[in-house]
Amino acid sequence: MENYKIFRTIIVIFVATVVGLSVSLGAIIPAFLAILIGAMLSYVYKKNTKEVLYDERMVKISEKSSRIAMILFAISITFIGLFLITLKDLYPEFTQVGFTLAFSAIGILGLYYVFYGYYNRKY
Amino acid sequence: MSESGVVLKILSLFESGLFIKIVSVFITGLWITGIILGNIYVIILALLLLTDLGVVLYIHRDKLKEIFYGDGSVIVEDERTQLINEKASTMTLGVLIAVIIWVGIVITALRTSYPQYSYVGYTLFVVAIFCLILYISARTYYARKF
Repeated sequence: MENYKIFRTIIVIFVATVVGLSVSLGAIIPAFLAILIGAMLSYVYKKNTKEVLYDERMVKISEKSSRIAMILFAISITFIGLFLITLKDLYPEFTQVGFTLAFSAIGILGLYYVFYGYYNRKY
Repeated sequence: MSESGVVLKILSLFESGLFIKIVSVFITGLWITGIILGNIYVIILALLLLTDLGVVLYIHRDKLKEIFYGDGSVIVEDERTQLINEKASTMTLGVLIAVIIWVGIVITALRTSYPQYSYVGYTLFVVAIFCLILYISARTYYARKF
């Protein structure tokens, strides 16, 4: 598990550096390639390693924290989005931000119901 | 019925499931009205009512099943639905963060061609960071708990 952590950290640093540089330069292709290479390397490592990468406790913690994080996240961006849209007369420059947040909240709900339907059939 | 009995009966109405549902619908109406009119005071009123509702629900958190279903034996969430909820949340969060970062990168990288969408790109980055912070905080909490 320790080797995987080190490997994952190196990949994250590599991808973040390339993406950061390409975004600041306004070039999209290097960012796209860096993410693709990072994902592929991670997948190949996971496939070929004999290390135990996850135990049941970690999976449980991950699932529980995802649920609470998703709920808090959805509520927060909905409220902030609502406020920004409501204040469109006072702060018109933030209306676009408000709509982005509101659409993100709709996206969360949509994704959640899709995955809920999938797992509901699976289990 | 004594006078105090009547008062208690009236007070209990405010804690009934039907009343709470009506208040929820009213608050939703206030949100929508506030957005349409662009009036911050209506939104603040809705937020205050929501806070009050939250306090009432928190006080009666052990009796929520009775309040909303009238029968304490009703099972709201069993182990299966809990498992499905948790798995769906994990996938949703993972896909959402990935998509938000992707779209943010694309919009920000193309800011010279489409400068009008720069704010959207930056917002998506901030949203992704906020989501990650929430996840890491929750993970730290549950890692200590279990």
